[in-house]
Amino acid sequence: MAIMYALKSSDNEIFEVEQKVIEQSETIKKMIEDGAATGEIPLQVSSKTLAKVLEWCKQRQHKTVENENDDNKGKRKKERDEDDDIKEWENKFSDELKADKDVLFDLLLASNYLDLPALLSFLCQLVADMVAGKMPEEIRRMFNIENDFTPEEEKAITAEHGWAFQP
Amino acid sequence: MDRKSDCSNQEKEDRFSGLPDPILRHILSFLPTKDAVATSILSSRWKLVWTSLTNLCFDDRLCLEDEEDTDVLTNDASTMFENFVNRVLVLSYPVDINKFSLHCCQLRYLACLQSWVSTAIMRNVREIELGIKMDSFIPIELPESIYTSRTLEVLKLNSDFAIRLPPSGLCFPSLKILHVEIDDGGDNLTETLLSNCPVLEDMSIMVHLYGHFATFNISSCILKRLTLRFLHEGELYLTEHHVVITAPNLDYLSILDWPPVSYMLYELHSLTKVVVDFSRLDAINPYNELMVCSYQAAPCVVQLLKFITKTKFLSLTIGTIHVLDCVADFFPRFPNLTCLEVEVLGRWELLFVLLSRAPNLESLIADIGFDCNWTKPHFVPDCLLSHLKTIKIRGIKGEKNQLKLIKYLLKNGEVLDTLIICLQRAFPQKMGLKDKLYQELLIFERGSKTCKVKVL
Repeated sequence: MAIMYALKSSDNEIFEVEQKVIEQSETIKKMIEDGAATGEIPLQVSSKTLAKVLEWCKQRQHKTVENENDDNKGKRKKERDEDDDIKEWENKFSDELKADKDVLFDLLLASNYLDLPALLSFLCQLVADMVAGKMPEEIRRMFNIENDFTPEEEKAITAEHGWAFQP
Repeated sequence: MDRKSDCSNQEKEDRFSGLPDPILRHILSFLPTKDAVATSILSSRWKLVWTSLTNLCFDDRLCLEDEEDTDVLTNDASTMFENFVNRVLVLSYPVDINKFSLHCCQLRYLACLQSWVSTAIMRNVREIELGIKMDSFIPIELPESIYTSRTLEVLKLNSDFAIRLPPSGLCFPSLKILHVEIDDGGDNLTETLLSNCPVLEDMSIMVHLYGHFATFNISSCILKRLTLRFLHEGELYLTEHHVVITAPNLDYLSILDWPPVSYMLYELHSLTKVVVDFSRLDAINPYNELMVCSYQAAPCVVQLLKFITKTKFLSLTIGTIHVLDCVADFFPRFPNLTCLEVEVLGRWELLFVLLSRAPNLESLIADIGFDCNWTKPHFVPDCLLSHLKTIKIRGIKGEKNQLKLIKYLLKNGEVLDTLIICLQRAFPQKMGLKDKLYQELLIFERGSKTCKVKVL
């Protein structure tokens, strides 16, 4: 039988999870090793976010097993793997996050706190893709960033890094 | 309406800027440095975030005005690009550089390259990637400091460089991964490189063949991964080239070549993964090219396969299958093979030949693409009865003969655990077909009672 652990979210919800699923988190792994895991493991993560994290960890667990004998991926292979169920799942996961940026940022912070490098990289890449090739004004609008520069300051920065602002 | 939603958006919190610096840097590290630096104008919070980036990736093609008009930069654009790289290197000082990547479709001054790369090396760069075009036809000299860097672990040269090893011989003391492009006119550079780089584990070589040297030697006791790409420049003909590989620690071998040169492989005691792709890299119509001389090429391919029969993982592309089609009987036995990936497209009979030569196969990934006439094999391959646990079939369109193939595999796969059927991508009736297939599959007889079937 798989060893189960109980995770407690910041809003006191309990999640029963298999050891190998949560051990992807270096933070939790350390807690278990330090013996801090008798009973419930309290985490500074909301239940909504934690559910999302676990969803990812469960999927990821299959990914590592299935792809073990499969690291010869050239570009052509990658394209073909579009019809892979994992890819399909990741796309759906990404789309949900793009639609609800609050969840996206909660998840980013949680993956950082729980020390889940693969999830963190995945999310950073996702945000980078959202930003790539966009004009500053578009990025500001997308993420509600307030431009606190004076027109003069803005001009100075544009002049300093000229090429960066070429369309 | 739009204006209204804009307003409500503005009242929302800016959570992006609220992220801690390490996460912001992580995000920016996935962007070309041009885009990363451009975030400095978003707000004062962002002004300096990029300056501690450790991955610097420059590409002057990003400022080509017209994408149609490839590889022509105005002088102004070149100057702007050069200034930009210079400023980024100054402003990001003194942070160590993890990765420095530079692609130029039109580098004006060699001195720029020398100075940029030297700066990266002084700042303990771990990975360098260069792809440079200049107006001269002479290969570009690499800066000398690159040969002695103690931090450089990865070097990817995506264009033709003159590699001149220092007289002392020993070079690249920490280099583990090396990608180079060479031509066959040189003095067998790879041989020298392999004997002089003390820790090189992963080598990827693109060779432009002009018909010069006859034997191409790759010999190393530490090499673990090797990727060979042969590009025939000019006329397509069967060449007199020989490739000799002696690599007792080699785990992974990938070969892309057409028409094939002749291969002699020795002491491959550790080999577990092999990819064999005989198709032209730059062919516009690969099938036409393939028809030309697959018959003459077949012996070379069979000979190569005979050297790699101990591998556990084998991937054969459609080009390789085309060649093998006329010599299927000579396909050797692969006693250790557990995973086979193959593009058989219309050649299903060949698929069964391959299966019969891999008695211990556990996992099969097959692209079957085009429809073809189904003829029931004379006997059931051993692996199907005893070892084959997972089968993934790509390119299904629900045609009658395809279903016969699936039916056969389900019926005879006595230890089958999972059968995954991938419908052809962008196939218009995909959704309806999925349900229909599930229905049909339900009534097929199954040799293994525990077999799960998935349609994607």
